Amino acid sequence: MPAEEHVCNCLERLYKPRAAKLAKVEQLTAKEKFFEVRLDDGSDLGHQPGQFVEVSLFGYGEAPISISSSPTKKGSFDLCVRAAGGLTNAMHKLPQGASIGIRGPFGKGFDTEFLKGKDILFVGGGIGIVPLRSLINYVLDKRKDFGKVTILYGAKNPSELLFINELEKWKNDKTVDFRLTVDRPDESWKGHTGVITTLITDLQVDPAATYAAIVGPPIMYKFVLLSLKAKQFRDDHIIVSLERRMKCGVGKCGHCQINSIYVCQDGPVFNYATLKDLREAF
Amino acid sequence: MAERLLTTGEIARLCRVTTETVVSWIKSGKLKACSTPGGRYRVSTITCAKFLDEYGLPVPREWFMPDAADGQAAGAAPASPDQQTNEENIDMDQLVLAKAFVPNLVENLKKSYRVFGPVPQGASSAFKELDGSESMQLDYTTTILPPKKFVLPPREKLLDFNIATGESCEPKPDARPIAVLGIHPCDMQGILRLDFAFRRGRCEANYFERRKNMLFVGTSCNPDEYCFCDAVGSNKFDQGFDLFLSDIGQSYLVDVLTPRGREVLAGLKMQPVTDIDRREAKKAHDRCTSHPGRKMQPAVSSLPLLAKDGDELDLWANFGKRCLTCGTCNLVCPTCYCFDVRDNVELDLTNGARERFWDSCQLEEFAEVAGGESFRKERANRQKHRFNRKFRYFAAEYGAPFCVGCGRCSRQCVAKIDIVEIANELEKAVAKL
Repeated sequence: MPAEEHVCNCLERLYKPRAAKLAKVEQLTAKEKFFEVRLDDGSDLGHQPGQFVEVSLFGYGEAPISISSSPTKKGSFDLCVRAAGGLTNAMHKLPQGASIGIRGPFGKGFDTEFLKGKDILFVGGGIGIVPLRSLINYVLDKRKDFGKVTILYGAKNPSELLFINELEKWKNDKTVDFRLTVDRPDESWKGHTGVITTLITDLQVDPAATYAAIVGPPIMYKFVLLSLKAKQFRDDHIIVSLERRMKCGVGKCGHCQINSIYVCQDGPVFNYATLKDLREAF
Repeated sequence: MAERLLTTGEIARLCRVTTETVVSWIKSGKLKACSTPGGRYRVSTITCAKFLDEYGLPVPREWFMPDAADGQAAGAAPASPDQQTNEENIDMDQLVLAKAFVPNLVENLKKSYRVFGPVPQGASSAFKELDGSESMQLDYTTTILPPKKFVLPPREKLLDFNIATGESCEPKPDARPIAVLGIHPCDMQGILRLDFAFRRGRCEANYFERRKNMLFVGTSCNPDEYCFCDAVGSNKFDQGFDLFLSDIGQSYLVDVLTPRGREVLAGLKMQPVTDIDRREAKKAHDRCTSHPGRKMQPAVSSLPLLAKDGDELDLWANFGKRCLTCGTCNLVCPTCYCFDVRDNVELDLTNGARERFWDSCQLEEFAEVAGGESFRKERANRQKHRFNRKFRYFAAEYGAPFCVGCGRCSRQCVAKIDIVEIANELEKAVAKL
């Protein structure tokens, strides 16, 4: 192939972040903070539920962060960040009004068009509720477009529960079956106790009409998948979101690769049926 | 217009397809061609114009211009008194350049390019910028680093930033035209694979702005016992190069593969090519083979399936145990392009740059996430990942393996892990399953 063939008109500058400001900062738990982000140019992010952005702090680098708000929310978007690495710890120190950089949205999110009219079972474990919330709020904002909605959310202990105000709203929503559990209750806990799979056992769902959206830590997938199998869920009725080190977000750097696929391009949201043969996925 | 003969390469560029595609048109009878005594296809401009017209493709206007402008407009070398090539019937795509005139070629290149070539370094060679061609040694075995360092520098600035103002800008990539002499076929195949990787999905401006100003002059090579380009099908002498120099003793047979390649030959004393020269060139190409004692046993096309079937074999753990996770195999690989990104802040704590660096999937932290979860913790899995990336994952999409058989990973591995040995062991172990 002569060099001329590589010169195309689709060259993209991929690495410059857009300037944004933290419109709101709120401590949710000991480790997690909530950030409402507004792009300086006033535009909407234009994302799909389940996509992610690269948050950039000059001097610290970039980190892939799930978008936590529904695209139905206009003017700004939400991130919820656990202080886990260099960038996220630095981000936790930022006050309201601070400047950050945003690249993205990246990756494939939940296929909302496809999910229309279907029953949806949400299964969120720990910090997995963060990306899941983008789809939950989307579905609740367009409630008539979807069938039966069930939300299962589990955390290690009550102090790690995120979005407490919203959980109340979901609980009180008559159109939603919302169930909450913690592994290790404290004295004040009055709700269900046990790992999240204990919520699935006595669930009444029609596996043929329902699509399950699961996001949680790697260990959770293993057991939730078994429980859903026991409920006769077919592989292609299960949708998951995977965490990997998505360094560049544009399918080049190689860090997020699972076997032959790049999570930042083909994911982070996957239909389980497409992942089954990828041994590195779970 | 005077009728002129076109090569498959020229037609390929006109139609923006590969040479192989043009050959397939000829073989299927869609495009009528004649053949030179040396077996090369030629198509007359008249035939080609009819063909282009038939398929609704644009016909170059210069073909219909008066004869005087014909030669120049079609991209032929400008006529000059001391050129010996303006007789009729001379094959303009193949010429002979005496080795003594290589310095003149370098001087020609220097008019428009920064020029790099293989220079001896320690027991090996390295591509270095040429001050004078006297230090260059075109007759070499391999370089420590492949020429990927030109298209994807080991360290590259992606962004300049100012922490105080929050402003950032993307520096223009260093796209000064460069010419690299002495590229071996395997290394050129490596660059073509990098082109694919940086075009795949989203086309990266940093990469291609640099890449489009590069001129590559290939040479036939002197393989050692680590080379196996023939086993992976990367001993190709006519892909990616602007010029290819085949060693025929006192001279090089020069294949002119692009108009840019033709331009840099302007004014050089060159001879027409004879059948003897072609036979010598063929011999030089035929030397590009594996060492008899070190052959890859399985066919490269069988490796994707072998890697899949052998996914759970102990073999990976055995190689993993030997691996010291230094990452050299990745750094010296012509097709490894994974990178990490880091911010470097200057001493004023205000200005800084975001830079990318070559990275290695053999390092444990490569697939680690901030929470501490590591998705390829075992060395065995990292060995397996590298092998799969070379022979299986992108192979189907690209249509050829991502290993080009240069042997660098094996040659430079301190633990003597040999990718050919892995392939051979894999075949044996899968057969026993």
